Amino acid sequence: MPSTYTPIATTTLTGSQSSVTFSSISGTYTDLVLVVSAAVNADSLWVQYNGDTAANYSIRVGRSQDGSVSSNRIARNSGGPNDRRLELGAAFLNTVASTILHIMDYSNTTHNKMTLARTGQADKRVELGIGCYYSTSAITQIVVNNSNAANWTAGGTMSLYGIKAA
Amino acid sequence: MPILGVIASGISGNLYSPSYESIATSAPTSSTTSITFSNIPQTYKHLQIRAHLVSTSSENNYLNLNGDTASNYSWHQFQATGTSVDPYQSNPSPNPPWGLNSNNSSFPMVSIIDFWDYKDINKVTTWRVLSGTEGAATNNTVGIYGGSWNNTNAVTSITLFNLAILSGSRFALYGIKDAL
Repeated sequence: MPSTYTPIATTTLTGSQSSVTFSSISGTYTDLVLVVSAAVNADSLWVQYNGDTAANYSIRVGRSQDGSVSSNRIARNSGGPNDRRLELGAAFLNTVASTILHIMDYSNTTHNKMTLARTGQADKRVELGIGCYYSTSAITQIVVNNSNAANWTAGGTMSLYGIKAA
Repeated sequence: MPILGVIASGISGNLYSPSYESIATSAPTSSTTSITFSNIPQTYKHLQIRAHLVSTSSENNYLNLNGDTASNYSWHQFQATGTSVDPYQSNPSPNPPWGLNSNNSSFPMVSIIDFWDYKDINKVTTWRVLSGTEGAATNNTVGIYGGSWNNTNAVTSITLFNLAILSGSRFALYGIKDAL
């Protein structure tokens, strides 16, 4: 039986890196799933695709934080740096947060790319989000960083999986 | 969320992962108004649909099970628009949603729908949808929907509707096996 849910790569954080790059991603899968379980002294995790640092991103999130619910959007061309990446992951004061990003139909060359997110950090917030990468290029690289460009705490993990439809 | 037991690995390439299997994929080549997975094997524990909808319509984004179009569904939803949060609770109704789409085919709607214990005849079938779309001028949302079908029959077919499912859409059905 061909593999359907395939581990592509895992990084175990050393404590001396602020970003992790998954590169040369094969186009043979249908969707990608990025699972992050890590701590960092920052407010959020973000990703960029294909080394694109231009204003080609927007997000929309709903969250429960500190006892209240809210929703906000970071629009494309809203002014950097927040529109130059997808800020779709929770983080808080060096305590472990978990984020699952589903990068759907990532290798299609027809449509803009959608990323679904579920994220949470027990002391701060739980959140769901959608991000748009305004590009019809296949995604071949993912950079994971955080809003403070701080070093991730050692021992955390970032794992990338590929899901292959029949 | 089913526990898949997926192993994180620094090894690239294919590793055998028997717990999560691709059952069927539908990728329409012309416009249609529904996608049906029928004759679903009864050999899994849970099912998952991963959908990538390309559409020019935001209408009729609902699903049904086993062709049941009656008021046999209930659901809650939590939708975020970017400026507000919209909760909703249904009465027993037909047409439970599987997401809210924009009407712009350049910005697909993506949904992940998990159906748990779909063949268990001792309880009703429940599901959760995580869905969103972003980038179009209107109807951009992200939402989570929890639904149930007031029927203990095993699920043998699932139909997803939208008024204009276009080429470029893809709907993939996966089965998640029970522990050995």
